[in-house]
Amino acid sequence: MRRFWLFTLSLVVVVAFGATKLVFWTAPNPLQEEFWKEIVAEWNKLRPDVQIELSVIPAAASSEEAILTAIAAGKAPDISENIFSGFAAQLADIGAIHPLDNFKDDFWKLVDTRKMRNIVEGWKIKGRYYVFPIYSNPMLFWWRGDLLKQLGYDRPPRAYSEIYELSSKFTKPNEKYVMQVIAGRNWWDRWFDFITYYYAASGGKAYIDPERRRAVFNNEYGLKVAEFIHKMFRENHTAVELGSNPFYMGSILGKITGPWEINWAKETFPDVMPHVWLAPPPVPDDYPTDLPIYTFADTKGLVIYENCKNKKAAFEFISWVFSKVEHDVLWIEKTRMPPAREDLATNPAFTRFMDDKFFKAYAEAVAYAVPPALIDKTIDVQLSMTTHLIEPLMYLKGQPKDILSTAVREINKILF
Amino acid sequence: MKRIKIFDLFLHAVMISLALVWIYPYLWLFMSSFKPAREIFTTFVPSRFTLEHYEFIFLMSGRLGRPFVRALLNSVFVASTVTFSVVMTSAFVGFTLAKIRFALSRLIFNFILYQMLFPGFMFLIPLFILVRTFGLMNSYLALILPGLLSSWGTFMFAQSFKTIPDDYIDAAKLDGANRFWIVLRVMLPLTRSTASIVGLFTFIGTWDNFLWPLMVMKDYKKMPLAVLLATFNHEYAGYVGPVLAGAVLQTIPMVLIFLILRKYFLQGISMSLR
Amino acid sequence: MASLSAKEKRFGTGIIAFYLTHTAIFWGYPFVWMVMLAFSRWRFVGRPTFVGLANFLRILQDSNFIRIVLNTLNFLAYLIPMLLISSLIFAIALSRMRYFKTFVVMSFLVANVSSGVAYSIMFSNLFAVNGPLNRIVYSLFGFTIPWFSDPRLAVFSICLIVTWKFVGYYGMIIYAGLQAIPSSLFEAAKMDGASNWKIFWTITLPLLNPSLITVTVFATTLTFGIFTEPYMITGGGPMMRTMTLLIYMYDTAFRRIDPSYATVVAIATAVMSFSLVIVIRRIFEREVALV
Repeated sequence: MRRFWLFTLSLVVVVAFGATKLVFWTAPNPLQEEFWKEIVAEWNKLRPDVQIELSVIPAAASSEEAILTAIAAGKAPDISENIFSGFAAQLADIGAIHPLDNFKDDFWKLVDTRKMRNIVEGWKIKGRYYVFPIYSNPMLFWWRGDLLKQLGYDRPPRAYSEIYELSSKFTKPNEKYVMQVIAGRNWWDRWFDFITYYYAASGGKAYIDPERRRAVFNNEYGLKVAEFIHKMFRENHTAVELGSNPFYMGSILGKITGPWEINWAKETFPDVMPHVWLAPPPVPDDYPTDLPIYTFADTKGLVIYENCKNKKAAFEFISWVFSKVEHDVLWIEKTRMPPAREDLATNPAFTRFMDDKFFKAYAEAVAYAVPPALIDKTIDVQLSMTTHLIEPLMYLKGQPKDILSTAVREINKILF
Repeated sequence: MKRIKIFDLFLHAVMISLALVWIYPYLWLFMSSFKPAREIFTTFVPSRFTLEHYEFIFLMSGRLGRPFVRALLNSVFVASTVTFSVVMTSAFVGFTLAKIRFALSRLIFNFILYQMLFPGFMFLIPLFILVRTFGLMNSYLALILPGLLSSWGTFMFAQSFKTIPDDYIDAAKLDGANRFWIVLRVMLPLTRSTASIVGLFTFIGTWDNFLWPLMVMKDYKKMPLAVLLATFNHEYAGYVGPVLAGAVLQTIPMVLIFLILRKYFLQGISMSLR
Repeated sequence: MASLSAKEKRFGTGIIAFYLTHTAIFWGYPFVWMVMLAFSRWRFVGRPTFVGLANFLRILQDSNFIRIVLNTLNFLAYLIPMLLISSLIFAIALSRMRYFKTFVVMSFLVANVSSGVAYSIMFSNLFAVNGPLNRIVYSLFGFTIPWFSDPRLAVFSICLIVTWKFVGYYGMIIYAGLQAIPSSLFEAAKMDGASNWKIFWTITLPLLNPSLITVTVFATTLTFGIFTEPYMITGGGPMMRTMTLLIYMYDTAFRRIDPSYATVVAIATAVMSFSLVIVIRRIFEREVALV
């Protein structure tokens, strides 16, 4: 009992006088929240002198908006996750985040321990490393295997024409459609429709040239994708609104999603999940059959803010979290998202997850998953993409070719 | 004569059914928050009533860093503080302007009218900068201080004090009452309905305020319910039941206050004609 | 007016000093900042740099801003007639009711105390493609209505829910105006053999002018201040049709980190709202004398 009081007392003393308190904002995603809760609780017990205060990014519309408002208010957190590369470029541009390579050897040691030398190169912003990448989510299509079997298929459709054909057997306007084509109306949804289809059609080519600051998707691939989207809506293979959870309700056969949905869906729709087939996004008919199909990688990382009072302590926390492979194991358990490391297939710590067909499919797709263009105006560009490309295609306002060139022109205006 | 009777009957029937249509959204919201998740969109009268959505937001959300009970109390605290302050300051300033003659009173009264011409949203960004400069971000003060005074409330009080004869004040003075006493004990009771109207509309306005707290409050512990509900809706949009339960929570206090003070609500409306 | 003693003077001075201090801090200081920001460029850090009229020139060429002004006109074109006509009908019908009057009034008014975030959530679910409303429409007509996702319909749908919220309130304003018309006027007109229709056009409507103008002015200022509904329900889409001036101001200040331009957006919004109100008053306001 005495020892307990002594311990408590010393804890109180440390907390009251010597402790650094760091505010850490996590992604507004219940599964990630759970992971961080466990990790932070462990750390706080271990290090009474550096206490981490965990909080979800207070986003009412998007994380980026919440973070930027907080920065404007001078109330940025010390650390936050859920940062995509383009947003990091914007934050670096206004001097809000701290380059991690300032920690020199400690940073490189951590990068080597977590086997991510090549990965961090993709995150270089003007020669500096601001972001510590946490995970990389390739986007894959989920198809209702049970319903496809009933229609006489033993594999998911691969090319556009297969989708049109499948649709003729399944679609019944206002009730059921073959697939969800457009992911939504938010700017980030463009990652999950046009940009994904474009990567698939072009074999992973860039849609924006970040050096020349020009949109370059006004080419044969962009046109094929635009024509695909346009035709899907024109011929009623899909609709603007599909209701909530249409995939699980059986009112669509296929949709794109990331690994974050696996655990939630297993809990909520246990009867549907065993029959799901995973596939890369659809490609144009002339896409070579012997080539792998590329897709989009939704990849997010963690940053330390410039206003953090104790950056060294913040980095110690990050190093502690990501130098232990068991933390990445816990991460996969909780979220099913592939950690951003190069040894997923080789490290024995992860082999047991390869029994899970979902995780396996996502982990294997990492090699062909391309991150978004590294530009500082991602949000404005993708808002413009929504207004000038996706919505005109959805609502059939004009011909795909004209819509495409207008969209490129509008986006170049923003980039210039 | 007969025709008129039938017409009246028809009119009553239409108006009553419209009234039912108008409260239907509330009824649906309220019922849905007690339905099992699967039945929210399919049935009006559920197979069974459940408290699971309320359990989710009250018990779970504390663990998820979304303290709904606290947010409710925050809203109550901020709205009542602002309301109390507005009624008091408006009464005192209104009294001074209406009943004490001094050089500036005419000028200030006109200035208050002039202030009312400027819509609140014009000042949002400069106010944000002010709050930031004073280091009041993420504090209750940021939500309360700008609302301590209201030019509309002051104007309302000044107008109604003008209609009260000075005899009351003189009588109170003979009894040796000081000015504070006069305002609190003599003038306020005489203008009870003005006080209720100012209080009621201020309370509703503060409770409903969304844009301002969205800008200055990023701390879940001090968020008013409106902002917490919006962030909850962002992350847990798939959990329709708990989101609707949260909406019920945000709505019920307003409905109750309205039902209790409906008399003053109606008076306030007819006063806006002036 | 009570006589002025030294004590009274102190009391008055104290109160006024408090008022002036608060106003100086929370009204005067922001006002100065607003003017300063309007003529400068600033991104929350460092010192604002003076740019003269550049922000005002920029707003005239900003295609987004022009799109949003058109949206606002679209909102006005729906909202003002919808609110004005429905609240007028409501008031007239109410004045002819004898039973259940309180119930009807309360049902319409209780809609007005719903708070923005909660009722946006409520209606986005009610109007969802698989929500209760579309279920009824589908079972009756075999199609669903894309309330918030069709670019032509979204503005109308938002106006619909705003109308739901405000009809009771504005209806009661008109009702109060209606009660103020002496019933002897109607009786005299009836004696002269005027039809109901004629009475409505020559007596009711002209005498209701002040309350109708009040409602129009309220509805106009309300429209320029719409934020919560589109922010919560549509996020400004589809095709930017429901983007409002206030969302644009908020986005510009905090998502594009450009508070100085956002201030100019706010000023432009206020100026437009104010001028429209003046125009409405100039054109439609009549002197009404009730004898």
